[in-house]
Amino acid sequence: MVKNNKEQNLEISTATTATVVPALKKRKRRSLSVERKQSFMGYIFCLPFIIGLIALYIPNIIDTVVFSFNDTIILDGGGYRLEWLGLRWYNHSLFVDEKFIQLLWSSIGEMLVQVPTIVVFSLFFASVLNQEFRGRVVARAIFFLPVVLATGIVLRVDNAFDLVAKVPSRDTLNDAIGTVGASGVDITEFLLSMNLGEDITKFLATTANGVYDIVNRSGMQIFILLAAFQEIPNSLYEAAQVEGCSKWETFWKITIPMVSKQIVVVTVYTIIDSFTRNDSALFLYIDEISWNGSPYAYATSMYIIYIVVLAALLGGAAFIASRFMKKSKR
Amino acid sequence: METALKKKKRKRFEWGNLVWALFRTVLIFGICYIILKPFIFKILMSFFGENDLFDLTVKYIPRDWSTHYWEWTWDHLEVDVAGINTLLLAVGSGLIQVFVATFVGYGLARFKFKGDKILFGAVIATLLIPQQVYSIAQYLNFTWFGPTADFSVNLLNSYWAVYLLAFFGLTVKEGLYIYLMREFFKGMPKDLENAAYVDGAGVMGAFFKVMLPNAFTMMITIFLFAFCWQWTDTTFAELYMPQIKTLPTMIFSGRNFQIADQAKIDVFGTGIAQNTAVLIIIAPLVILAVICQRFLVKSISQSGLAN
Repeated sequence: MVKNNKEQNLEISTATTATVVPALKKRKRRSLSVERKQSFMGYIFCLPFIIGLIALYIPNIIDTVVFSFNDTIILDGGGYRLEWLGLRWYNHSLFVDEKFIQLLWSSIGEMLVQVPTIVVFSLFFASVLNQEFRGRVVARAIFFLPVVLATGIVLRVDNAFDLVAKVPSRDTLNDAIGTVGASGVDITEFLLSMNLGEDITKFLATTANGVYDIVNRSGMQIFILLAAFQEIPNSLYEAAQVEGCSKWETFWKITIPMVSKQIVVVTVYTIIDSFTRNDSALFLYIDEISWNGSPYAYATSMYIIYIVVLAALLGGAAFIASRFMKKSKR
Repeated sequence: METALKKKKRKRFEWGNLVWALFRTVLIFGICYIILKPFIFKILMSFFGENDLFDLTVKYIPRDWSTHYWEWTWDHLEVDVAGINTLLLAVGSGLIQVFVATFVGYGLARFKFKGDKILFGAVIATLLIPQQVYSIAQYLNFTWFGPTADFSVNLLNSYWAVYLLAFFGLTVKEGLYIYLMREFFKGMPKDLENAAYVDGAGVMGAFFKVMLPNAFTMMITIFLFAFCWQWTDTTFAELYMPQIKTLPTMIFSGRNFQIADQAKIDVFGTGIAQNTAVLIIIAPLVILAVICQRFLVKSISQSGLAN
């Protein structure tokens, strides 16, 4: 490869010094072949993923779709047999199973609220952590913890523990153990003691638990934005200071535009993360259905409906955004 | 003169700054408390003595301190087997993921070829479609992995399932690493490679000698993410390799921690032992996080300076 390129360079340089017309022709042909080589190298670099797509991923998806239209009967000797059902389970999940539709909409609504909240939250805390203050290193390390524990193993242990703690025969112990096991911020008791009224207490308690959720889900985002903030050259801030900008103005006119690319990355990451969280109410419901002996097509059809709805929403949003961008560019 | 100016300036901003500093401190303390609370209670609980379990006045802080649960957990975690399995899986999968993500990310960032946009769309699609949607199909495909049923191997209960998925760029969140790498390489100036080409390097030469050293810090970051993911993974391991013991699955999958030793530990004890085991499992990761956060933030920003 190395040798080849050397030859090319040599040829081009000699060609330019020689007669003009054949040199031009030659260069054109050369550049075409370079282009072809470039595209060939592109395939080489992407090869593992291409093989993965063809050998595993696409078959997986096709099989999943096939399973959703068929009854899968497991044979005694191993293997399985398919029996065509058509849209039966799709009809069932869409028109019979009320809980599924309800959970589908509530999970989408939740997503619409949570994605912007997480992006704004992480933007805010990244800029706070970027400031100079005592104990900054410790605070950063603590904020970094949720990134490391991204699989939710802690949450899973807590859930298992809560189940154990709710064994009826040990009811008297619930107070002693149950509250210890829960990792959400348990401020209900504290608020009740303040006599704020039940509604307000409930609202504050859910907000506090929401904060716990959001903190745990924005670790990676804070980290990406923090790195982006440090890339901004100090000279920009100095110039702004000389011009007499307030801190507020500097934030909006310098910081935000400079990290706009990372904000897009963070938004994409957040959307993906909320797509695939396996502790959402909808997924827990589908899991429950697939483990209690319902036909596999049932669970699969629900998953596929979920993905199609989300893809339509996301595609629509992307389309509108791109139209909007084009217009604003004009 | 200068000091006078400084003084004036400081006076003007003093109140606002003070309020902000106070607000910031409260905020950071609050969030840190929210993050750390489960760990603090887990640590306290792991030192419960047997009497504390039945003492209703004991809520968080044990009265009868003992290392009983630590000993029990350490004995039942089988660190010599499960720990080595987990380490091999996490290191192997992490290394493969880093290199695949770097290669594919570079390919997508720098080369124009037919279907490159579709390929990038596929990367995003692998991220957007949750694993559990196709987990059964994947299970069956792993059971008979090959072009036909006769020429197939069973990948279940082996490291190969993990390694192969990592190699194919299909591990959970690997698409994200490809995406991050692509963004990173897109941010690098093309002149770097052009200079290498002028110096007579081929595509591979330019990639290995010029681009890889620049991407090194980014690669370490991605390795850490991939490592931490595999280290604490339970869903994948439980489904595709139920017979391989890994540290996280030791706690859950009906292994030692479910079959509680009645004489020494009861149902609640099992819960506390699980909590203690989680502490043991995440301890290395927490140490990594503490060591690396400074380096990682710095490294990403340094690599950004190359822009």
